[in-house]
Amino acid sequence: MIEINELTKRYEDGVLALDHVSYAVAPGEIFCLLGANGAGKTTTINILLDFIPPTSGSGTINGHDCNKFPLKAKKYVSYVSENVQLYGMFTARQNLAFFAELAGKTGLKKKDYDDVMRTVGLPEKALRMRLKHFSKGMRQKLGIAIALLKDPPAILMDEPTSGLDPTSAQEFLAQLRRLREQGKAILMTTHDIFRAKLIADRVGIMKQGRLVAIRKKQDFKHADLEEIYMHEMQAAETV
Amino acid sequence: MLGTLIKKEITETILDLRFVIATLLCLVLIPLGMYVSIKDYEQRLGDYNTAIQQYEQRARGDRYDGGNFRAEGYRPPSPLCVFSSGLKDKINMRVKTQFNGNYLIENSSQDDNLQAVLFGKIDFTFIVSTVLSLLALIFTFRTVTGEKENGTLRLIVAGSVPRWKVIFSKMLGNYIVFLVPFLLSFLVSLLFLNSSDVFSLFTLPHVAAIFLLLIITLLFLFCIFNLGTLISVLTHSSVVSMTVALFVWVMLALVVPKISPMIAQVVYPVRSRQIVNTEKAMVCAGIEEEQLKEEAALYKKVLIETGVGVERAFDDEDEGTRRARDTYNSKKGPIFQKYQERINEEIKRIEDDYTNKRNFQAAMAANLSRISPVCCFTYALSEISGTGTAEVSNFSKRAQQFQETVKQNIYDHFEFERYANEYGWSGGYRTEEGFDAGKVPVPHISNYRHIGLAGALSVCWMDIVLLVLFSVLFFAVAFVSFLRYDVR
Repeated sequence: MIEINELTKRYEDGVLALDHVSYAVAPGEIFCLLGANGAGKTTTINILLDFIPPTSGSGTINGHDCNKFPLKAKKYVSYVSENVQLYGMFTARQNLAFFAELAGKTGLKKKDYDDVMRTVGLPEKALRMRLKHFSKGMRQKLGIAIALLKDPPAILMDEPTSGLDPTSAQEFLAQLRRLREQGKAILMTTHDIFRAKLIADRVGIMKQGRLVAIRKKQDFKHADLEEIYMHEMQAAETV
Repeated sequence: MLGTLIKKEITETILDLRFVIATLLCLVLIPLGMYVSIKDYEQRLGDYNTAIQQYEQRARGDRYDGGNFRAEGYRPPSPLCVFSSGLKDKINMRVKTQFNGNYLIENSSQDDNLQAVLFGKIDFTFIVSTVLSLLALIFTFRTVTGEKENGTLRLIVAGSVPRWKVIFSKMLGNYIVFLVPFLLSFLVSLLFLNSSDVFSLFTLPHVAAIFLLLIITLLFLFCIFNLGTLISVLTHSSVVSMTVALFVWVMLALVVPKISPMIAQVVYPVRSRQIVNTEKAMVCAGIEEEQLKEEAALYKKVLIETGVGVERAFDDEDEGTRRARDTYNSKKGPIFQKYQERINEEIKRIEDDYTNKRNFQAAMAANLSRISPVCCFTYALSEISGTGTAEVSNFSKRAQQFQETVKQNIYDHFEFERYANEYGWSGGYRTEEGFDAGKVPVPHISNYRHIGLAGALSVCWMDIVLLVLFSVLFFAVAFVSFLRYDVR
């Protein structure tokens, strides 16, 4: 569903953000990208969403090149960002309706909004609340609700658990599992090794623009993922 | 999709405090400015009528005495000055004709309130060009940067939404919202205008002019909205875009209009009107002195030739002197004619030279200032309101025609008789035989026509075209820049 082939990005100032990175995320799979700040995790998502062009290589979503046919590619993907702000003066329902209509979902009924709010764990009465009164966790959930309303086969998440309290983070992971069961291909960048271990089917470890390792669930299910991570980082250092 | 984006922009703007402030400002300032302008116009019209009456009373007595009578013509205030004060305090309201053709154009209206002179007056043009232009920038400066900071721009662009629709909706949405309080306030202003006894709103020239004023105002606001959006697209944070927007506004609304005439004055200096008037008076005096000498020589020659003798030059009772004067009067015509022509030529030369230089300097200043849409807007509105530079020229032409008409109808029927020698002269005005000054109606500038819509358009079309070009330019650059905007 999500494919990245030899993706390279060198910025104007010469910084190599991505260095021939390749991997794929299959339907019903959660792929977590781990790495320090500046490792190239967010750059990957930025290229997939056509926020920036790649220097070489390509990224495709559902077979559509993200750089050559971005509008076609983005039809099949939702995006959940690190810090979901949305429109503070709008109610939750207005925010949902706006992004749903942009995604081509017109004529949604109250039941549709109620369902999606319930799915992400937000009370129905929150639909009428203005976003400026929402906590960060509630906003994050609403961000997921927006992604769900679009109902695409792929979801890109950039540090979605950042700043969430433990309860909200647990609810978020439960939500991710449900999405995986629905067959969504999920690419998630995170610093949170603990939660990555809990949720990921595979993890990719990035360092200075390079994908230094990919580990499957069975590799870290009974091992310490943090140890694996540190080991791979040190190994990459020596290379 | 475009509809959804525009609807979002409209809703977002309406819910914002800026909309409330803009609505309040529009609803208070525009009708208030109009009300004050209407009262000002009514007062000016009253002053005009009073001045005409006083002149008529004065003229009835003076016309019998050709030496004292000077016909005056008055310019009525333009009704559309309620939209733009323009040069109305500087436009000459009165022309004083002269026997020698050196007519004077002068202001008869004075601002009693010095604060009004010091700070300027609030009128529709000022409100739009200064207050609403600032509001338009405040509406738009964070339209892109604000969304970038909120992260909503990433979410929108992450969807399958073409970027051109995003930026187009921002330009259009904000503009539509802003137009609501503006048009409402404009409508209230028109109701004020219609309630005035001295302004006929529903006449074709007024309806056409007001419609055009409205179109130009909407075009100007669109231009500033596009500029604000452009600033937002070219910057990446609200603080920076606000700083840039304020800087641009200060330059366009305050600096460029004031600095352009100063630059023109430094580059192409022109003498002041006072010095030119003094020069004209000195030249006239010099020529008249020569004329006096030549007349004195001729008179002396006639007195000697007729055997009267120079010692009886001013003896009005002497029969011989009277005969000599008849001979002198029959011979002095060419001298009078020659010097009159010289005076006219010299006055025309000095006046033309001054006018050409002044016009060139004014054109240079105007063209320099046209880099600012605020100036283009002000020029266009003042011309259409009959308070611009074209109206000044219009009155000058009418003043010259009036001088010629009065000369033909009255002054030419008076003859200036003067008998001079080297010690001095005596004489006065003598009415032509058969001419009764009392039967001639008091001369007026009748049916004075202001510049009119067609005349104004012929002068300000370039400003309207420039406003269109600025709008298109800002729109196009903002549009193209946003297609490559870094939304991260």
